[in-house]
Amino acid sequence: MKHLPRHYQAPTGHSLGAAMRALATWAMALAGLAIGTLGMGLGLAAPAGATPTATGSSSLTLTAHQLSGPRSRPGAVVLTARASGASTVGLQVTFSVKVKQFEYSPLLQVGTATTGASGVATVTYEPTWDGPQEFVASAQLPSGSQLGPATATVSARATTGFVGTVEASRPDGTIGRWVVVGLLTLVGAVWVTLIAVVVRVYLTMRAGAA
Amino acid sequence: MSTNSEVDQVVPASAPAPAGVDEHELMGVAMRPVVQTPRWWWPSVGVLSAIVVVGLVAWAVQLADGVGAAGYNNQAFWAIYEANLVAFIGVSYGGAVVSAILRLTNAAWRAPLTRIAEATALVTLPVGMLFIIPHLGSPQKVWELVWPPYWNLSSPILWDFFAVSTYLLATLVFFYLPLIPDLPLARRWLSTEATGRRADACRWLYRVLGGGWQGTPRQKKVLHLSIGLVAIMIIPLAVSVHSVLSFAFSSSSRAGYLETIFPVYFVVAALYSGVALVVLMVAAGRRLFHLEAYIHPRHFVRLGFLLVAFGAAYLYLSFTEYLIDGYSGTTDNASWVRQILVGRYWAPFWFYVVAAGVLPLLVMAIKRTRTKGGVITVSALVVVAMWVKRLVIVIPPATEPLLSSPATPGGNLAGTWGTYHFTWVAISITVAATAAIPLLLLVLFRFVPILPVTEMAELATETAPAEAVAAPAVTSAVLSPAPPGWGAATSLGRYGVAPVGTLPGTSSNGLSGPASEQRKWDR
Repeated sequence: MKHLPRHYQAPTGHSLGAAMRALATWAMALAGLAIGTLGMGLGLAAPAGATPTATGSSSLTLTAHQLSGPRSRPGAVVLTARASGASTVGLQVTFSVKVKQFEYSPLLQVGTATTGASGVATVTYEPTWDGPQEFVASAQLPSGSQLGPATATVSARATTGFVGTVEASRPDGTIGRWVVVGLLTLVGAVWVTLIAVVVRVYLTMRAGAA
Repeated sequence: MSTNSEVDQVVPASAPAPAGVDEHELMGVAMRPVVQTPRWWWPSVGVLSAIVVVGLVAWAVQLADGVGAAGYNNQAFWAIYEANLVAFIGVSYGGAVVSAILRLTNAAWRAPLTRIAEATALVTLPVGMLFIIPHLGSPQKVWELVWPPYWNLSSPILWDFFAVSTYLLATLVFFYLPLIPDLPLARRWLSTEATGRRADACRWLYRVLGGGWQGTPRQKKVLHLSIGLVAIMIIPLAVSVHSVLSFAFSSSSRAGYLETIFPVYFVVAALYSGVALVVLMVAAGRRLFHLEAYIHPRHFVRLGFLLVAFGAAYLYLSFTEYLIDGYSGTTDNASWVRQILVGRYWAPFWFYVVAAGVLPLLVMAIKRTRTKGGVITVSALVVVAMWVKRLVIVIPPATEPLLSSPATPGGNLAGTWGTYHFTWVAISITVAATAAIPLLLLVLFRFVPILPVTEMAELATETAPAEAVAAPAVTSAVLSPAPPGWGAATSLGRYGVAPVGTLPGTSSNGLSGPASEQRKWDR
């Protein structure tokens, strides 16, 4: 996987290369103003992109399996994280799935859950594509150190399509069709009118010149 | 406060009353940007061009590295380019619609402003349209958007394309038609006053675009009807553009975007920011091309009233939106409203409230601040704050986590909020687009008169008999010589220096004064 240059990971521009720094100096001055004003570029690292570290005798394991269902409608993937060791109750576990759509943050967070008395935290996830999918879980211990990451891979079938590829439903097929025809006609009429206006003025000018 | 030196130089004489405008002399003023090159022109064009080039380099970097280079990520899938698209197309609305409304209401004071307003609309619209390219990521997606076999008629983006391209045509026509009567006049003026290759090129251009215009009654009738028709058409067209732009948000199922108020909200926002940009462009044109004799502080105050009318409407719509979403009882809506009001996005939101919500109202409410400088200051704030407000509309709902888990029953939101990171790539492209607007205007006014000379003359001549009785004549002594860098002094004639507020009896802020002392284009 190709990784973006480091300077995209923070808006401060401190790690720009020499050539790029010269090119972007003016932009950074304005960026500083904009970011300071907007409070949007908080410089927070993407939470799923951080690299956790395992500590002490505690450990975290992750299992993933897809619930059975009809072939046309498979079930959700159940992600189960099990903490073992000294502190296992009340840990907040973050679950993520590895994606390829954006290279900036390859881990897409799919949910969080808190471990119960048995040290288990569970979330369900509805896959949006078919094939092998790698999940990652990590948690933070009360001491502040991080537990994990634990990974698990499951070959799942999509339960829901990607929303952007599904054509929106129309209130009524017939009405919807005529709305489209009417609107396109209106757009065409506006174009014809505007062009006709210019042509008429032009012809009037030519007649005047003659 | 009108502290113009012209006030003291007016000669309240019993000189012959003006009977009309000397179009040739007025054209001399309007053609200054065409025939003369002030010292600042080339450096300004050079700096602005360099900024645009940096923006193009940044776009090339984004093409190579992907939209992540612009700070987009999994949890900020819509961000700065979408906000820019809405903001830049929005500001184009102001120039066209303000000009159209003032024409249709026969507000004669509009005359010196319309050419600059319409030109602003003409140049900002294509710049705004271009933001769809970096927003989509890959340029070939634009082709897939516009080529009929790929059309998805259920997509608001496709209808955006229809609406914006139609609006662009209308804006072009709306700029061209009022220009026609000026072209032969400008050509004659060039023949007697200027020589050189560029003057020849301009004469050729004017002959091609308006060569047959002789000002016959039939030509005038057809032209006035045509301008009136386009002025009527351009208002609903502009409304449709911003309504359809809002559909891209409001037809989605995401909290914060799924808002029925958005079409009206976007239209009013466009009018508001558009009027603010017109104020800035008019102020710049007035200062740079020395049009003080025609564009008076009173024009700014009147535009200021227009500005706060739209600003108050937008403030009300914002209040309505946040009130209803905040108290909707749905977790996802209440969540993003909370983040905007007191959470991670409080700073940009409250910046908008202060800079574009409250301040313009205060400035126009207080007599001491209701001045040219006050209006220009708040207009600059409004342009920036309304861009920020577009970011507040686009980014918070995009970064809101909408996942649920057994650990957060009852629909409570799981996960963490995403963060949009500004990058030098996105900011460079944004600043380049901003620089492109004055750059294109500077280039445009190298080829067309900056004032609608014929229109100003017609409006002035219509009231000449009445004014011949009451109005004190103003001699050319009122006019200072042409400023350094503009060549020889130009006499503007009696009517040419007849803007209101420079005459005895007008108030300090230029808002009152005997009506008989006002020329019609300032009413």
